[in-house]
Amino acid sequence: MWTIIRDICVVVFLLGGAFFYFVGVVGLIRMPDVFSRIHATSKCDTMGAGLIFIGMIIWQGFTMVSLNILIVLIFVWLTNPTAAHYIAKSEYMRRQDKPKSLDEAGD
Amino acid sequence: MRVNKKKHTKAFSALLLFLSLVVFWLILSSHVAWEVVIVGMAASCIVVLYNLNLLFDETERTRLSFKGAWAFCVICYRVVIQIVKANFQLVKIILGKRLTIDPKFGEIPQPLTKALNQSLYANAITLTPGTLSIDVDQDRIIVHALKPEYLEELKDGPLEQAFVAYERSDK
Repeated sequence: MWTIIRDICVVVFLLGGAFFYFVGVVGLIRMPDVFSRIHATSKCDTMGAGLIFIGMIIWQGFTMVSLNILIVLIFVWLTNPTAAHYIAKSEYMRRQDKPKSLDEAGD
Repeated sequence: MRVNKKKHTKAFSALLLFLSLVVFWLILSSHVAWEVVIVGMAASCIVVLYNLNLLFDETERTRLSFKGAWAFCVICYRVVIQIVKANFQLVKIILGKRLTIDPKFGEIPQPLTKALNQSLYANAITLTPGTLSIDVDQDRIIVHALKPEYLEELKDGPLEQAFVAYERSDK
């Protein structure tokens, strides 16, 4: 009985994670510019990875492997917004610093 | 004297980073053998040396304390709530028939003074509904919002209060 409940939980979490990844991809295609696209990918990836990893932890039970998965989850949650921040910042700065003409650069 | 103290705290930060990397390595490698430990220590040492000038010293982060740990748990709880909220909001926007967005840039005042807390707060802003941190400095954070009201929600919101409480926890 418990294994059936566990399996159902795992399937729900995995499908939920896949759904949020799907929404992220649709957002990437539908959103109009770089910044709005980053919104879609960074948030949906975070949630999608979270749900899939939680599903895997439930599947594994409380073992060393699930501790590994938990650490990878924390790593992803820390690095995902940082990567999004860097892409956004570089695009923002590119728009701020318009290329100077050769004459101005020589001054 | 002051320089010495700064060097001292930097060495402590380096040691802390080294130890956490070794523990991280040992947890990820499924078995403990002497060659695994040596390779792990060497790799951690290289990472610490490579990032030596990026380490936070005592003045740039909140000191560890029980009160701080509790405040940090509150932050984690609120960030998880915000991630779930943000995702359901995005699902509504992205899968809606028309994209109901009005993207704009805005500035919010920087409520924190310590560098590590500022970067954590910027990360948390990226995960809150409809907002994305673009640039961070001592007085302000430039934020891109999918709708102007998301920017207003951020000012003096629960997340900012949690971070301010965390920063004040070591006083």
